Amino acid sequence: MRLVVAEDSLLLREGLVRLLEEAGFEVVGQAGDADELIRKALAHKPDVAVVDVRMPPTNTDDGLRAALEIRRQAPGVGVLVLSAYVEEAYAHELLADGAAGVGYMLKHRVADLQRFTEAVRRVGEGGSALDPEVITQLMRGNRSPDSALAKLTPRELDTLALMAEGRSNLGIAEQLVVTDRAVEKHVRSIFSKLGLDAVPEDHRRVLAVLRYLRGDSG
Amino acid sequence: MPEPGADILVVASREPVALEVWVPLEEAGHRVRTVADGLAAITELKRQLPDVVVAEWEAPGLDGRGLCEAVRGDPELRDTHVIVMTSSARAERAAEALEAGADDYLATPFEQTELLARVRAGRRTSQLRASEARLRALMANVPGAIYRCAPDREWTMELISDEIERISGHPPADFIDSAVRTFASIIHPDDRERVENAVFEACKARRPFVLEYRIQHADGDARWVLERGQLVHGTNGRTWLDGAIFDISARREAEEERRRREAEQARVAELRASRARIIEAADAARRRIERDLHDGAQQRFVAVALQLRHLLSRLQKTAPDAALLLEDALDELQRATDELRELARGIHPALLTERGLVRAVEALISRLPMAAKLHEAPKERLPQPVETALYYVIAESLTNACKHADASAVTVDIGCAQGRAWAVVADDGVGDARMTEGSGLGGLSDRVEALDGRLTVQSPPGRGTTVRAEVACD
Repeated sequence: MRLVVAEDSLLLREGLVRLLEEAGFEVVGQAGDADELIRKALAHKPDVAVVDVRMPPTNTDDGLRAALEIRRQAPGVGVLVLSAYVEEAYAHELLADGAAGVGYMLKHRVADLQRFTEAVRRVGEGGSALDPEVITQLMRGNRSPDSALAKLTPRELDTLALMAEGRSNLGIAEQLVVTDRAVEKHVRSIFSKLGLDAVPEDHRRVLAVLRYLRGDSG
Repeated sequence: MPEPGADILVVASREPVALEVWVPLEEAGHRVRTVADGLAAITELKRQLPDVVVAEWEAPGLDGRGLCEAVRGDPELRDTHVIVMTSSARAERAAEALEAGADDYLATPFEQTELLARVRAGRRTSQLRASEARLRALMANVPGAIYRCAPDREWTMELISDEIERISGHPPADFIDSAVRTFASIIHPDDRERVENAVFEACKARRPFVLEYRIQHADGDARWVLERGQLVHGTNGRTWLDGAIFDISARREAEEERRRREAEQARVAELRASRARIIEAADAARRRIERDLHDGAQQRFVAVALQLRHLLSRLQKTAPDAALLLEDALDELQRATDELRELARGIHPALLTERGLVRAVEALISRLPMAAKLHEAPKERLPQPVETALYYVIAESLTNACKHADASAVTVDIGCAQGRAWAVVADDGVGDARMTEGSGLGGLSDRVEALDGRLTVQSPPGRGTTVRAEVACD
């Protein structure tokens, strides 16, 4: 899997690159600021661009803006955005055009090698990878009683939250310590309650997650 | 063009004399009344003043002398022009008559032409007196002191109207011929040279002058006066300064008061601006500290964690005991990273700068452990100091609602209209909150006031707490 890594701290960038290469990824480009990131991502068309939010030139949210620009110009390139803080506002901006190939994680999670490499892989395969903290925040923000999500049971909400993290049914079953079949049942119920029965399976999953993340009503 | 006729009162006891005067005057176009004696003349004068009186010196009852004395002694009649007819045989009569107050005399017998000429001259004098009287009345009534003075350094007064007493506290007689004091002596010492120079320059250039300066009132206070005047050339080559002096102390005081008020307002505005600058500098420092933490310590922690994980994966194969120790250390490092992150966020929320007040408040709300809702919020970004002030007020109020108010729900409203921006945070908790010097909100009122704003807390016991901050927002 081919990657571009954008991080302005050289120390951290080299650490990331070594870690990713040892995990079997091919790092085809490195960038220290937003402009370089866009240039290299559009040139190399990697499977995933791993992007730090705060980067030069303005050291505010340049990385996020660059990630959105890459999504717009090269929809096939996945973006995994790393940030010192997770902000709901940033999550909404990133997910505005769909959750496929999008990841948003707290930066310090990179130290959890397995979780981090899994997230990179999922985004590269067109899935999504959202930090549990993002999910928690979004769940709090989506408690409006007129939301379709209000119809979900707590167990179904847990299942949906794990779907949003990007996990497979098997992964969800492990996490919730239930059987594979039980998860399938929850997932079917979720699709039904959110009115997604007629949509193909893979797409349905993404839509359900999106609806969940956006807190769509109706 | 013939002059219009004059009003003439003839006083003559004898028919022939009356006719001798009356006929030519009537023929010359004058309006003539006749009376027989001095007493009747006085009555007639009081009924209507004529331009000229022509009276016999020798008469029964009140004679010419009596009439002259009565006329001169009566303020209302004093200005009447009186011509006395005396016998030419008794030349000394003329002197007596003039001594008694007559203006002119006619020696009988007289030519008609002389009579008409004397009456005409009398009338001119009478008109001059009338206009002088009008001028005196005007001088007495104008709200300023009208003067005529010599163009010398003392301003030696020839005349100055009574108003000067109200303006300076000194009677006008004091200044006439500088009898008691010179006018120059009451000009404020600090203004004297300026006044002298201005008058001198104006006279040299033959143009009128207008001056504002201070005089010293008899009561010791300074008064502001406005003076207008100019150099005039009189008879015999003499020159005068004619002009008027007005008391403008009230206007000056009003101006001073306005200036004081403006200066005070400017001072208050500067104070507010300097307070805003101090707060802005502190905010900039907070932003910098947060950035330094983010780019420095936080990055370094993550990089170190990465390296240690790398090390850990090797140790797990070769030295499992050491690996366990390292795992504990990594957990500790993780907690330190979390704490540092929250510390940095507390120092300055990056989202506030990057996405604005509304997004930052939404993020605050999403982290609250209670039901909270942002009702209204402006679509546009507000100026940075406004956003920062309102953010901290909202953050502090939300913290209080969670920690102290025992509230189950809280609402936030943010608005902006007509140059004002506001934030209102209302909870349904126990109320009875107070904004004290040491409290978090007390500290924030400085920040709000620096933006020409007000922070109010309404918190009746048992009925929730509403915090409202309103600031100027251009």
